[in-house]
Amino acid sequence: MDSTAHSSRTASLAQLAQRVSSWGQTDWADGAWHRTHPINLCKEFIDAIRGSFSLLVTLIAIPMIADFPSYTLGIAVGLWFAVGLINACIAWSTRYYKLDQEQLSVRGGVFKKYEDSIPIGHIHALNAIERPYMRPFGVMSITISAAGVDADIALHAVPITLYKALELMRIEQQTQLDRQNQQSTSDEQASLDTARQAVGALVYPGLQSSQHGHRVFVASMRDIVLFAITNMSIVAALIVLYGFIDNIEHIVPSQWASQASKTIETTVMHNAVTIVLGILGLIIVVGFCSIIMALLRWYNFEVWRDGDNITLVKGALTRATSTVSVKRIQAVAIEQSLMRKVFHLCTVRVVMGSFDSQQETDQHSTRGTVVLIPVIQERRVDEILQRIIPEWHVRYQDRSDFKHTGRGLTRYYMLAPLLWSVALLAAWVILAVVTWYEGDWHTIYDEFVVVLVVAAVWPLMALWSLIRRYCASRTDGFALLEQQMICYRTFSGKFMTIVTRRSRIQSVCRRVPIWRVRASRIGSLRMPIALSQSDITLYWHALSLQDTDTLMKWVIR
Amino acid sequence: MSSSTPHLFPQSEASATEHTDANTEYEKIRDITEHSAAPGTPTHAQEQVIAATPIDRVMWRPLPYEICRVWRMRLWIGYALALIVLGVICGVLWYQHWLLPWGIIPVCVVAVLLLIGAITVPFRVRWRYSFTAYAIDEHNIWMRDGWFIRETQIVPFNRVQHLSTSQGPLLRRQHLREVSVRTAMGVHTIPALQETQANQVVDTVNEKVLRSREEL
Repeated sequence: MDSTAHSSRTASLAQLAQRVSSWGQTDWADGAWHRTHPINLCKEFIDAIRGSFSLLVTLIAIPMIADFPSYTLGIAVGLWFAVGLINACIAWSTRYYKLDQEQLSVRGGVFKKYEDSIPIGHIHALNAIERPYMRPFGVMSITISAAGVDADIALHAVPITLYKALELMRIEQQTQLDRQNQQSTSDEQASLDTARQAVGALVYPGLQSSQHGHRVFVASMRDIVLFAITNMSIVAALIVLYGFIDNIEHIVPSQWASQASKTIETTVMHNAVTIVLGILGLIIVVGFCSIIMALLRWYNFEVWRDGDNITLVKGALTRATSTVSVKRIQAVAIEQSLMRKVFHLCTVRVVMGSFDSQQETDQHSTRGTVVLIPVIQERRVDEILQRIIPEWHVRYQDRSDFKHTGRGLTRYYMLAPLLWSVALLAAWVILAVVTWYEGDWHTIYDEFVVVLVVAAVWPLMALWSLIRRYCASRTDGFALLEQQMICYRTFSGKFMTIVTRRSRIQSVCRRVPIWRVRASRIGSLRMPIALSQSDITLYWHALSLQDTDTLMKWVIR
Repeated sequence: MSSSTPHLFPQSEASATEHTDANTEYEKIRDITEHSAAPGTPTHAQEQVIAATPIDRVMWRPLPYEICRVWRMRLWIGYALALIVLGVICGVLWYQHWLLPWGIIPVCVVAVLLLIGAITVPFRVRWRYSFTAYAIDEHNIWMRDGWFIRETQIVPFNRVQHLSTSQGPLLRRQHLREVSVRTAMGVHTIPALQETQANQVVDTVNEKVLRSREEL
């Protein structure tokens, strides 16, 4: 019986392999365990080297500080490479994958063995990354996402045909499931056939000319450049750069450091004009780097819609493809950082039902969300989203039904951070006074001076907290839309608009302090969306109990 | 707004009273809700009908009274451990001559706060008990808790992933079980039910979850 079932499954896989064989090798179709392509050793080696970079710094720093002979530096670097290579070999040689009719399985491990499986019907999203060094071998990296935290499976250097087969199987299973739920019609059969044809052409990013789906969005060069220059991480990069330069004197020989310091003093720090020019130059260099990085990441970004699937293709050197099922979308989030608010730009993400807490799938998704549009003008959001996901009826511009729940309740938003600010200020003053009266600042109380300086950063933090709460009180609100949908807006360091369906809300939690139950009748309300990260939860810090009742009534039907 | 919403447990006569004017009923019931948390209100062994939203009347069920003993024991054990840790830290600091003269002040403040906390445990537990309850209606599980910050949670059946029960040594001693309701986004707990009642609740909720999925 088992052998009959196995042979039928193998035959079915073989049929599948035949359909996708024109795209590359199909040796995975025998239903047995397979290793990934040996080029995966490169990926594993790069990951291992990157993961142990801190070890390298330690290995280099110790001989330099301890004044060991120069050849120890070479030994340290050699050791680092050897550890990376051994790690890569072990990881590659012990990891296997298997595809059968029901599921994709992965196994591996040396001391702690593991075996993970994802049933085909449970796949939420498929991400494919085509790295330049894998391209000549016809292999790519695939990430298969299922519902749940840490439920993803990542496979590197597997045949392109495997991705295509997975996509085909997923669509077929989904269509069969839909057919079971509804009555089978010829239209559905036709749509399945269309989907099959479309997948046949769509999945491989390098062959876009023959795509059958329709392209719904293309990011222009202007969009990408705007994304780069309004990226707040430029500021973070500048701070990191400053920190690195500040600490470099501890790493390089002292002669080099003093020579570089003298050069800077004589050229840049000469007068006010040169200082300003120096800072401007630094900003331009960092901005240019940001543009290059953005182009590498987002160049030729396209969104394709095909049946139930949205396919995202992007990247200059590394071409990445991500397929998202519209049915699995939990919410649509439109966000604006302060800088992008000034330029009327925003980013659109879709929230999926899964994320991997360990692995940052850097290509498309970040902790359960997929970037649908990296940057777009505010006025175009409704039009483009109507083309990409018409099922969601997103109306970002229309705010006629929107109720601002936080306006008039600013004191409830700001009271707690204000009290904390005052308490911290008092503590800081007491600490300073005690330290002062204990005398001798520069001997036994040096640590206190450091603590005081560090603690002096808090007024800025408190101010930022107050600004955030104030903006939240002006922004927070909701609109109940047709088709059981809700639009929610808030400010949590960036302006965020979330559109979701009632069915995606997992629970409702209302909190009311006892002294407000009868007096002011103000409480807070939280409505988490499935497996979303914390900034994509619907949360009202303060709203009237009448509004909480309205929302609770809406959720519990 | 239907008053004929089926309930898991038989309603008391008071709860079965039907009112024609729903708004008046809601106002009346809301007053009961908001006063029900007053310390000393004997809520065990009797059911209250209260409303948490204007749309639906909810049949709140109090937890078994034995949970008060468990909460008291938990809190007292916690305070005792905190006092012991504080004492050990102070002893070490004093022995090593690291305890500065003015450092005794915060230590005394913490110790006094812990003692006040330990003394007020019975009152706080009774207060918390008067508000803590759960309810199961046609489509949702309701839970409410908190003595200082009142928290009301609603989990619709079709979002429930699975249910589980657990029993620590303190709960076991009182023949109680904690029931956990898991959704895709977190866990919601009914702090304690009698063992048989917990099994009954799990079975009933499982049945309702299956039914709600079939309806979808």
